[in-house]
Amino acid sequence: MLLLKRINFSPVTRLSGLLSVEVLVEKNVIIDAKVKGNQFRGFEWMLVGRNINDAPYFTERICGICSFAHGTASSYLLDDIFEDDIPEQAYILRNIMLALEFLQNHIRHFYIFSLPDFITLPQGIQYQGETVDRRFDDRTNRRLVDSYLSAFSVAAKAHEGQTVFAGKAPHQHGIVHGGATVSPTADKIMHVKSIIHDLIDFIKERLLPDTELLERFYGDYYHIGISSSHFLSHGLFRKDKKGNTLWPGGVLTNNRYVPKIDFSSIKEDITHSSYEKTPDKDLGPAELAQPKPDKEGAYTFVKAVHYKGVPYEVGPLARAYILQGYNEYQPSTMARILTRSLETQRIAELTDKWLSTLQPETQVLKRKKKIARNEGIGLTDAPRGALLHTAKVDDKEKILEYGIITPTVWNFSPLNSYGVHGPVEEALINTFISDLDNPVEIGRIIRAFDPCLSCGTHIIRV
Amino acid sequence: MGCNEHFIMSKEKFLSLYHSWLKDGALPPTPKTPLIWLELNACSGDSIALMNTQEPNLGQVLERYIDLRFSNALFAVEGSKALDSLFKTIRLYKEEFILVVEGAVPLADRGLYAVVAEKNGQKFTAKSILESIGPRAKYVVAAGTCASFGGPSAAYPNLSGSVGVRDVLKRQIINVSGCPNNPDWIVGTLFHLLFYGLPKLDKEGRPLLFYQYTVHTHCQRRSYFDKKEFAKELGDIECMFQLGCVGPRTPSDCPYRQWNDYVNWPVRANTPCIGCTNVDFPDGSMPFFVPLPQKEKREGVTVEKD
Repeated sequence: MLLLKRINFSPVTRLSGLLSVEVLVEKNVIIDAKVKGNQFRGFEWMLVGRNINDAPYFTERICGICSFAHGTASSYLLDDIFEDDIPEQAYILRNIMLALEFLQNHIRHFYIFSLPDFITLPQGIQYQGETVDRRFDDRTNRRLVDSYLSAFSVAAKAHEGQTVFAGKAPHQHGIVHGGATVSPTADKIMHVKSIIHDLIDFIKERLLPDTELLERFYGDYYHIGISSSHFLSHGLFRKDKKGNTLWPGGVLTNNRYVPKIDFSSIKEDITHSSYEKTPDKDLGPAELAQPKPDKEGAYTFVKAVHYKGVPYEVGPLARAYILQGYNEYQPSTMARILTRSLETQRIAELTDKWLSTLQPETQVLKRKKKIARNEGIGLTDAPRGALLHTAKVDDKEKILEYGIITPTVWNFSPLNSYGVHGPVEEALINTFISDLDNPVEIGRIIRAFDPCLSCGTHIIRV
Repeated sequence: MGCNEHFIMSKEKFLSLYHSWLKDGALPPTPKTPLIWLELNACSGDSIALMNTQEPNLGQVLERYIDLRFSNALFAVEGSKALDSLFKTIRLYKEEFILVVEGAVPLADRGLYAVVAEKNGQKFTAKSILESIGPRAKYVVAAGTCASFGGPSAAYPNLSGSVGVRDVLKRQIINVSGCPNNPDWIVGTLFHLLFYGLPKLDKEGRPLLFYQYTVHTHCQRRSYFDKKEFAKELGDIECMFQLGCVGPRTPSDCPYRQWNDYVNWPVRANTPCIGCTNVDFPDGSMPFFVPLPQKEKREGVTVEKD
């Protein structure tokens, strides 16, 4: 009797970008997993030779669902390179716009991406095929379908709020080095406040109770999708020039919190990634690895990233544990879903507060004309976790090197050279699959990490 | 009791009457059109822009107009069953379904830079899946600039060899360019196809309904341009030409339509238009903040003329 079965779960739908997952199953238990980031564009190559001022708008195009986060990291990087002394109100305004990015992302993630894993959608909404492990009674299911349908408009409202200051979303124009381009005025503040109040109502009346329903009916997912207790965050909502953030960053390793990250210890590894080190000076800096889709033993365009040799999980769960300085529960699928919903509420209420501290018609842009140094770093958390931009520029402000490490690179890291799996692969391994023809557990575990493979696949310096 | 019985009788009578009115007067349910949304080498921004549509919102679109048969971002079905639905749709609804493509098609290294799905060891690359679906669709719509012309996915040096859909499929493509496409442009184009057939297109395949005039033609700041009053810094109220605005050669109704439920657009946000609907976006618009005549000309980049 054949005990081993290979399942190629492809495509993983309801996410950003192209993802497939291959698992090896023995007696219904996953014993090996490969997450495959199946797309490559090469943004870091594209950035070489361009003007550094173009980086915020250009890097936004990496990701449609968190474009503002890339715009933010890149603007922070430019603030660093120009040594901008940005006005205090600009910090608040930037944080409001970034917060709205989180709100649209988290609401969309819960309802549009994640919830269809648990509910039965009426045929009239969209074809769902055969479903398994649906536990809600008809009445509860109807409520959740109703929430699903409302979420489209509600999440779009969050982007509308961002647009009031940012010009458009996704791929905004409002955050640039030196601050922001639209000064707050009474009418604009009220416009966004009105949206925030509607969002807070939705979160209280829908998102939190719906999360509670999910938790009640699928409580076993507190024991499914377990990863190691290693968390990393770059901090969220910058407060001052020094880069201090309202929510602190740092690493939490087996319940030990260290606030400072040593950036030279963040390393990337291409052992099982589809790149090879063949420097080609005609194409760009020698440090860049070249894509090689058919490299033997490689199965993804995502690189393995590790901090001091250890893979780290990033995202709302990591932020929540780092914020409190310890993790009381083991990292699981339901814990990831729950902390994302709780974070949504916190961020919405913070945004309301910040809007009240905005002063109409104050200066929000103060930028220097010439660069002050030739390299810089931009750090923030994106909705799905830690995001880092670094760059080196010449005196004419041309980009010599641009490096990006996205949250998806952390979470969806493949096996590294030490033979250690990244967080998502680890969370999949040891999972019991009830029905091998309908492995519903795989999608549920993966989506709780909020994958974005358009972000995940770059060429990064090795 | 007698009174109540009488009431029940009349209620039944009323209901039967009511239902006969409904039957006669109600519109017959419109059959929804099958639609495949195929995401290739993209950032998913055009899917997010689709989700940003408000009147109608996407819930209404799904309930009333579109029978969604595949979408990377939205489809409830997952894994090989999602792929099955895709292929079943092509068989069952040949020349009836609409194909919307998001993202560019990478051609380098046998197309392996975008693999939409894998099955039994077979890799369905963006190119192969597009070539098998494209010819069977009633309409093919390219959503966003990557699908239309290559866009940011094909920016120099374009290691993945990405191109727009029109360089792969030899048939009519409706190009709803923009980075991303405005929700109104993509939903408006779909509605035109559903209810009025093919819209009138410009020479690049863009619906004239949205792309007939340049940004510059209808710009709110045109009076500043005419008086040669130019903004010196982002955030200023004057014309953005000296700060790199590509509006004079960018076809789009942004000044009228604006974005995200009509609240703002880049120039109103005191920044230049970066020409995201253009054939040569982004390379032809860069550096973003230098005046139009000084934009860098990169080799192999065709500059669109106004």
